[in-house]
Amino acid sequence: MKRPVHSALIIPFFMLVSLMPCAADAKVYWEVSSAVQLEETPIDVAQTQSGDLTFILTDQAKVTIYAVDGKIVGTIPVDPSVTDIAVSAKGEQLYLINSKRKTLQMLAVNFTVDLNVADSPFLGPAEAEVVLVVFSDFQ
Amino acid sequence: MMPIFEQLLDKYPDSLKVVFKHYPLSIHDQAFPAALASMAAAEQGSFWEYHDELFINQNSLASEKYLEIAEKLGLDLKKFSLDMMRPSLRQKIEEDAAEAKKAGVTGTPTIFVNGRKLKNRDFTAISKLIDDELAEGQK
Repeated sequence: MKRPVHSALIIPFFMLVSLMPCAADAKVYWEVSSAVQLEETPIDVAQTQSGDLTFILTDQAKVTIYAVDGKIVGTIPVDPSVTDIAVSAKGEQLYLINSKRKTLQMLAVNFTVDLNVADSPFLGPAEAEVVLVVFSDFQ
Repeated sequence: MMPIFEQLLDKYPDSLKVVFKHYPLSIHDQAFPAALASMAAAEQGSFWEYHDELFINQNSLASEKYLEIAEKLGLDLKKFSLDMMRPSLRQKIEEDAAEAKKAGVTGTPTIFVNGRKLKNRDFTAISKLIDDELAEGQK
């Protein structure tokens, strides 16, 4: 026995299908958003979710981190046997994969920030070598 | 945190500067006015004394309390009240808060040592980081 199909269910499904791009009609557009001349041979690449940091594993046992403008933010030495890399959404975790040895190593990645301390209240010598900045509120 | 900062300043009298930057949390209704009051006190060279009083009176912050503290510290009350309304002081606090957000600050207090965000805020951990920074500077 055929069950009756409620029209309220058919209409949203039809609308959904009609909104999906058809593979035969799909068009792809592209442009080069950035290009970097690497000093070493790349093995793998990973990028943060926002695209502001790109991590490149090279054949010299390094992961070099590039900012969106192509400048090197930092370099992390890794085991020469690392074969693949991945990063977390914000880039604070770097995953080092060794597919031959079947190992996964996770690194907590931290970045130093430049803070403007001019005109802020301070204690200690003005030209001290080490600057401790505390962000605080009073409540 | 002030007792720890004072201990650190005693330990590193020539090489450490402690800088205060504002990050008034929006969930604290008196955080921004208190920050303004502290900056108004700073205009009379009394930021840190006022800062200490704000923390002592943390649970009773209100507009009359700011004047009461200013009077207790012997500040010029007329100038203090006028300075609290100065747009430039408000702007300074807003700039600090914007910089904090950009640096990934989500709560208070958040501490950076030479741009490195601290995860552990105890005396020993901060001392070790300062020692590392000083050793790095001597290389």
